[in-house]
Amino acid sequence: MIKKINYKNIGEVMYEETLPNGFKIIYYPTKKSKNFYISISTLFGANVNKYKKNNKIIEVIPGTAHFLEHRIMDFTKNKKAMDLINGLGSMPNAYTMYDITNYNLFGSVDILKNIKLLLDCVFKAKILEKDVKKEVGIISEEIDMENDNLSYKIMSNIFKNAFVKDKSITTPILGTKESISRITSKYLIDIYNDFYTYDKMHMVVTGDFQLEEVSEYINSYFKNTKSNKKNIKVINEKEPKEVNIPYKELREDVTKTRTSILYKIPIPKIKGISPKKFDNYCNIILKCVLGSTSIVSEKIKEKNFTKFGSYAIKTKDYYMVEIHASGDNEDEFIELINQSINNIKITLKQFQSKINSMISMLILNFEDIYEVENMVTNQIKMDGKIIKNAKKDLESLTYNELKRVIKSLDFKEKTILKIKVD
Amino acid sequence: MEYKQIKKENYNINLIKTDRFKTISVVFTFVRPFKKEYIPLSSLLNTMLVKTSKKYKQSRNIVTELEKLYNMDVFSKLSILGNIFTLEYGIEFINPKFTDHEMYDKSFSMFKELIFNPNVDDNKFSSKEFQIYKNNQIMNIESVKDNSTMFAEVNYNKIMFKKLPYENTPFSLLKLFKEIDEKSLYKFYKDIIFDSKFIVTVVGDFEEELILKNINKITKYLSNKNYELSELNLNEIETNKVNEVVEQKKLNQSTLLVGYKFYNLTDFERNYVLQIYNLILGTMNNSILFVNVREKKSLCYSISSYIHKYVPSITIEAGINSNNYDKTIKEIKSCVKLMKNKDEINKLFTNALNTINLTLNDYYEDVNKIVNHYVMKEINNIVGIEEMRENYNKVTVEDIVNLNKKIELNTIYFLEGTNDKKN
Repeated sequence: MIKKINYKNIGEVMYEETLPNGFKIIYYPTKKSKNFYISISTLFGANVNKYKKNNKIIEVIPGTAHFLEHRIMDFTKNKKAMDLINGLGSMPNAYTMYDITNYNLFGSVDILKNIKLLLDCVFKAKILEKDVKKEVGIISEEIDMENDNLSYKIMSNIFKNAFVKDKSITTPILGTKESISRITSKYLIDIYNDFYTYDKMHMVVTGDFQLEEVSEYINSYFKNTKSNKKNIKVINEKEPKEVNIPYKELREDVTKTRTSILYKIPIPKIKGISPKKFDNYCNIILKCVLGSTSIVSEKIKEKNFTKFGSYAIKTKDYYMVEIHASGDNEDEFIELINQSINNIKITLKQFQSKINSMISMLILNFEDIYEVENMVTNQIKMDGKIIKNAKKDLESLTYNELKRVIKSLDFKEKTILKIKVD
Repeated sequence: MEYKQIKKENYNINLIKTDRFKTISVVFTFVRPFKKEYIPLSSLLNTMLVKTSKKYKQSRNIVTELEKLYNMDVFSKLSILGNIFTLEYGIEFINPKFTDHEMYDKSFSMFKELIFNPNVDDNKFSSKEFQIYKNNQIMNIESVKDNSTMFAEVNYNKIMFKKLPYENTPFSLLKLFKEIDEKSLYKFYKDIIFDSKFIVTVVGDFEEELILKNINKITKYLSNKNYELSELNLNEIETNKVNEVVEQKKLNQSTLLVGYKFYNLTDFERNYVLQIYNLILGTMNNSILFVNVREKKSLCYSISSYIHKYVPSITIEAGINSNNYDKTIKEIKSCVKLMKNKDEINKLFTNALNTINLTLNDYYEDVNKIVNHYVMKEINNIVGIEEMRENYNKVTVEDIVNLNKKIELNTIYFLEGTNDKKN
């Protein structure tokens, strides 16, 4: 049954449907666009390193999720499918992250044919040994490309420095040349059968289409299917509070020193504040303390640092804030950041202004059919469901609760990485 | 989407009324014949106008004010279009019907503060902020060396587009950039903003009277100089031999750029056939280059092509292992040769036309593309999107094959990774 989701005060409507086999579909029909965008995601990414299935522990080879993505989204080996895509002029794509693998098609002609192509590609994948062997060469080139990317180098090193046992974000998404050389077609098919199950997957359809027609088609595609849920449990090692390596220096062919600081903050349990609310408060804190309205952002510019930025990432037990910049007097940068982090003060005016700005961003997400897909996929990934009252959720945040969250954050554990001029 | 042009005494306002967007965008485009010094001067000017002003010295104060205006965006952009240079300043704000009716006046007032009340004393930009942003930009420009692909492209452009506007990048003009001072930048500001040809474009579901009232408050200060703009299209690249340059850097992966020029193109070939040729050769997921160089021969992870319409040429870019240099070049040359094979083109032709149609649909969903289109319409009298679509659909397989008779290899640039030989 299709459920209607009304976004009050934004004037937008989405629809949600869960099939008897457990597969979830979210629809956003709109006449704003002449095109459509379809995606299928599985909640399987590079963060799965080990899992238990029927009392057996299975080790996942680093780079598996990404390798699988390459072998699944391969229209060039399937001439019939490729000819169909040629005829439709659609654009297929795919990506792998730590917590998700996403397959998508962008098109404007015959949405039902496009949906069938994408469903067949993801759910009827043919993984052959000869293609797996060939893929090793292509992915090795991709690994070389990423290893030349400074941001990637900083990110992968700083996560390794922060974590001791939990490998969920320290395993490189692409794997290593050594690890991918161990992957076989039989192994990939086993992983595919375990993680590409209906309960772990969802589909998003946005753009110009008829809701009833598309829903009817997807229902008939899955007509005789049943739940294929597997009894598996992903295993993550218990991570200690302390960072793995507090300080590390690397030498590279760079023009200025790149510095990265990562704070490893245990996620606190605060009475009356849900995980979703906690995320929203942390988002506001980050924007106020390190964003473009912060005092530190001006000081950093004045001290001649560039490429200043920050982001947050979460594991099961930790909330991490990474801050980076480029410039030669790196200790001064570290000191400026330490001062800001250890002395967080946010005024009521700043708090209200950030909420307005987050509401306006939420409204603008509906400008674009890609953004809508991205927003929905992120919500399912983070919260396991669509956030139906995102605007109301933001409006319910209070200044007092913000102060309680600030008090609960423990910034003691941090790791510093410097990439110095070779 | 309704289009209306208001012809003023010395300039035009393009009004594109559409309820497709929840925002209203207003863009002022200043147009001049190209001069290379405009690149460094405009880069710095854009920062000095958008990040600081007389009233708001620090950029954090500006962002705070913009947040109060429901995250209004103020943007700037410089472009080289053949022989023409354009500098764009604009605002995008949430349609006041969703927020507060006063936002029309408040948004324009903020725009006016930033662009027309710069951080200037005694006919020069304030030294403190000028030095901060100049130093920051110098560091950012120099850091191109840290990005192997961008670094390779900059070096390739200097060879492939020698003596043409496209040889210039902020990196190649760093010396000129360093020579800019507070006074020369202000002089440039007065010159380019107050003494250029300009075009105003508005996109959104706006209240016309309010928009025009606010635009008039700004344009009354501007004098629209009617520059004689030369032909947009540039001369063909002139060389008699193939340039082959190899440079080395400590990298795991090498970057290969191969440039072909086209000669004696008709307007139809330049405007329509060339785009479809590019899609088939190296842009689509199943392009000739992707299928042959990556999928069949596993010589690279990434390979694609892009074109320059105003200097008829195509560039093929690949990330490869340096050991595969000769093999990859040989394979690329074979792929270009395949473009004369009707059967090969036929396999991808419908796909290419459909992809063009899909891209043209995208035009209606992208404010930037809509603004660019109307600016180009004034500069170069280009046809409307639907007429473009009709023209693309007139292209035949024969046209692609004929275009391939006018292609000539010009440049091979290789940024060789010295680490990848160890692999």
